[in-house]
Amino acid sequence: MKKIHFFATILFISFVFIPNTYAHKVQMFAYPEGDTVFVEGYFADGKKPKKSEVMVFDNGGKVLFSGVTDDEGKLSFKIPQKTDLRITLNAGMGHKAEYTLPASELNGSNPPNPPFSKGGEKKMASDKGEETKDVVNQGGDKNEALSKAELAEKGQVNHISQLDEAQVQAIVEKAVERAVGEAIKPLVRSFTEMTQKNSLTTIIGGIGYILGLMGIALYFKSRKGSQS
Amino acid sequence: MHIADGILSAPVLAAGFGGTAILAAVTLRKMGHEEIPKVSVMSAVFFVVNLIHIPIGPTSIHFIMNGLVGVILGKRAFSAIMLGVILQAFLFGFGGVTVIGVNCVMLGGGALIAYFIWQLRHRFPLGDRVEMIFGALAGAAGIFVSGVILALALFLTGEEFLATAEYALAAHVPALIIEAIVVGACASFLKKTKPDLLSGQVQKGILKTS
Repeated sequence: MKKIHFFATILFISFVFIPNTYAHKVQMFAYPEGDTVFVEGYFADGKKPKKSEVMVFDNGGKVLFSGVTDDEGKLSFKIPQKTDLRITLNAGMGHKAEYTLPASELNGSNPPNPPFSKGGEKKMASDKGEETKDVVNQGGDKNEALSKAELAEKGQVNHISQLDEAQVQAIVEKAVERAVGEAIKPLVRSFTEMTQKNSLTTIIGGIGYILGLMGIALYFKSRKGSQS
Repeated sequence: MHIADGILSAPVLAAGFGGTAILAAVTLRKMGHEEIPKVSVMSAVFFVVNLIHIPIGPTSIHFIMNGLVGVILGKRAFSAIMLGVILQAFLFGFGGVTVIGVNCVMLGGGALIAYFIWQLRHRFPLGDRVEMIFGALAGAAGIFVSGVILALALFLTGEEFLATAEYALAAHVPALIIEAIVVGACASFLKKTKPDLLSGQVQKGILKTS
């Protein structure tokens, strides 16, 4: 009996300490948005790691970027290189979190300087651009015989409006990306939290499994013992 | 300490499962009634203690305690750790399902070597503190051997992992020191309060296996 008491005490003590240790564990997540990566760290109890050192490594362990979080535990930086980014956040006092942002996620975002950004910079009115193009296309279908000047003009207009379309697409994509990123941020956070956290339920469940297996083993042992 | 999925090559994974099967078969034989609760409780301790993180310097480590399991359970330690590793893989995602074999050999093997070191105390009677000294050595040996097996598994998978393996060994030095202290303290405490809990106690000249 004493044995059982002793171990029960040990188990009880471990239960008391586990939630505490987890409350102080720092966690983080990072997500790309356009050409910028946003890093956010947090403690499981909701506190923010202020002025914590953030280091970004590539696959080979080379430091690509280092910085310090602001008062809300946030930091952002331009994507230095399109490789897997291993981001570590050191909140001091031995609290360190790591997050790897795979290159595939970075590839989905826009390049820092799209090649068409120069030409279409002035033509911000997106609807206008679409309309112009439609008109020009219709005109092209109907009027076969056009003067050289008109042809040249048409080509130019067509060129410009195509640039506009690309530009519009880029703007819309960027805006959508930002809006969606903003909207799913809490989801991403709670998901990261869920996957990183080992809940007390799981722990008790695991111990339950062990005790259940012990019961099964003892049952079969005792049956064998009583038969012989 | 647990190796994750997708790192090791298929032959190493297969060898891990094979090794686990052999070690389990050998260490589970003729387990007595009274041993089952002890093994289960130590399995639960191992299962839970892995979750306790200790901040050390710039990083934090978690207990592994395979040395302690070895000191208390002797050769039955392997089955306790195997059960713990399987449950950790399924419930916590420690390591992974395909790596269960390798992780069992790694952590359970460390426990068996720790038990071996622990038994050496009969050959070197160093006085009152012999339990503390050999408990500490056993605790350190548990981590060290696991680290060596980890390095070996990574090395067998491919040359490029050699650097990683060395890093893994170096990263476990703080864990090694802490576990040595904790297991040494536990062994000396148990020797004073409940000596029959410890494995391999000599009673009336007969070496008990449990």
